[in-house]
Amino acid sequence: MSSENTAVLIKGENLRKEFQSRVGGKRQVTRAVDGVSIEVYRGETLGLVGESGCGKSTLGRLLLRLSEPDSGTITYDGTDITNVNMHDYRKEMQIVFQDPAGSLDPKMKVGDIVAEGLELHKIGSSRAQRRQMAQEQLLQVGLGPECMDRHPGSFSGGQQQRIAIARALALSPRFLVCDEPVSSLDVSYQAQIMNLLSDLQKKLGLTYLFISHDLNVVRRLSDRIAVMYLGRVVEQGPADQVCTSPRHPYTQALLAAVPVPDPDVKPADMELADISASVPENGCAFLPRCPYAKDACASVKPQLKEVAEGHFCACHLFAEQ
Amino acid sequence: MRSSGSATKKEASARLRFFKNPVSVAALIVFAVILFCCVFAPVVSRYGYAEMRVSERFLKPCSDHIFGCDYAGRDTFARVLYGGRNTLKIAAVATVLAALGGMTLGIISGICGGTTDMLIMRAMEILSAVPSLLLVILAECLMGWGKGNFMYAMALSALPSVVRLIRASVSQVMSKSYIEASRALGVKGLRLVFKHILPNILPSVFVHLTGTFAEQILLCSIMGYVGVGINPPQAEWGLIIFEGYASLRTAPHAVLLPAAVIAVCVLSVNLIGNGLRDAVDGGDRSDG
Repeated sequence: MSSENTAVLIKGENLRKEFQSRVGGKRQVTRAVDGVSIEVYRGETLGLVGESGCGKSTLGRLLLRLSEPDSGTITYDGTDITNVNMHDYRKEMQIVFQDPAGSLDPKMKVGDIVAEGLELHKIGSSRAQRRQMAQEQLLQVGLGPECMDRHPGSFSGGQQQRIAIARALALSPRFLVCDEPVSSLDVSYQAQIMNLLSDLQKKLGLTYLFISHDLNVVRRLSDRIAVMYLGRVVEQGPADQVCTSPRHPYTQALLAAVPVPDPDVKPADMELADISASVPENGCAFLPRCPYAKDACASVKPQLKEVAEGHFCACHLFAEQ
Repeated sequence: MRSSGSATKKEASARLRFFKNPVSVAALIVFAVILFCCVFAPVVSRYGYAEMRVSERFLKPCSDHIFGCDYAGRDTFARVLYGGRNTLKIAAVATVLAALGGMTLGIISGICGGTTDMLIMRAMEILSAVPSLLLVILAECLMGWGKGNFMYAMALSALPSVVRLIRASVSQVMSKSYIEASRALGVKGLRLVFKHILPNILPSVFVHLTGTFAEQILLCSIMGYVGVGINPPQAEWGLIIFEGYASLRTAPHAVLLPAAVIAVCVLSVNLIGNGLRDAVDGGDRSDG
């Protein structure tokens, strides 16, 4: 894989992040990200899927260092950025959030929201020039100059998400984390925003980490897909392969759960047991819900193994192959 | 989808909602009249607050002395106005001091979290466990008797509730994704506080401070009544009540009329606060 290293834009190695909480006086540790290594290649879209609470958003935040990892390293463009001052790297990597209304400061005008990054990084010589640049960014996402002096609350969800994208792109980043960018939107807006994101990617040569719980959405945009379950990547590979021949039982279940827009098609029969608290300490985290569980699953943590070219899976079912 | 409404529209309509509410407007007018009369007391009243006429002791309200006169033959109306100057000024300064201190501590507490937060909040709990009266007496014993120290002590007694409110508002705002989005742009430190946090917490803080101001008016009067506030012969609302109390049976007007002014003033400030709260929150509730 070393020959491909120049193709890697951002890489996380062995990232771990725990959250501590107290429930009724008892300390609880949640391993949001539990030793994940992930590489995102230049110009690609890596889809990151998993159910809510599996740590996919936390992983995105760790890569941007919006949240500090407990251990592990992050490498951006060949440089270790795990412990550096992030200010200069902020304009290289940006994020778009799930909740467009919540991600825009309600007290600021749209023009100021988009221009804030420019001002911080001293791009553009004057306020007027920065306003001009902000206006161009808004135009790029399909919003006219009349939006500049309005407050974000007066826009629809889809328009707000466009503003959030314009803000993220104003700094000309190379890497963009899209954290469920369409999950809270109406279906018609979803399609618009996804088309916009994919147009922008082609035009600007962006690299995306596209986080979603919706395999349908991820499948449409992604070159590769990584599936997370309880803080670990359980399967990773080319989007087509993962979707057409999923290996990990969890991925199979996820795919079976995707609704088919045809009333005559019967839903595929693959039901999982409810998530239970008794996840084995040393075994596979998916064990309590897995229909194919065997003895080894309870005692040995499965590691990612290559099951086909570029297609990795962490499951004991493929141990012998 | 449009339930959040435009922020500009929201602010404009918050103002509109306030002025559309007859109770708020009436309260605002009443308070404005009281404030005006107190500030311009030398113009409004023909008498000074310490002018005594022995012949007019316990005079009943009449056209010359609309509130009558007290035990020393001083015009009660003049004393209420000059007293209001002291009471309202002390309450206002104490509220502003509590607001400034509360902003600083509350924002530090809300942003830093962890041990800093814990220490600040425990300190506030200790402070709020000390009764206000004790706090004022302690302050005056330790730092000396004076209007300034009295105001500091009053501010200190209001501090815990302001800090708690601001800390809660700050941590609520900090959990919003626009804060994280700003951090992703590289915003940090004071810029984060002044550009993103303060503008978003100010409306609710302002509503709370209106209530604090009303409480401070009452507290100042209580201190005056007990005798640890403003010294005679100066006037102060609580002090006026105390001075009239001895002759409550023979000259009730010397107590009841000033007390009515205090009550009306505190009520109007509270109603203004309620109106502001409804106007600020209303956008989320009714507009749909």
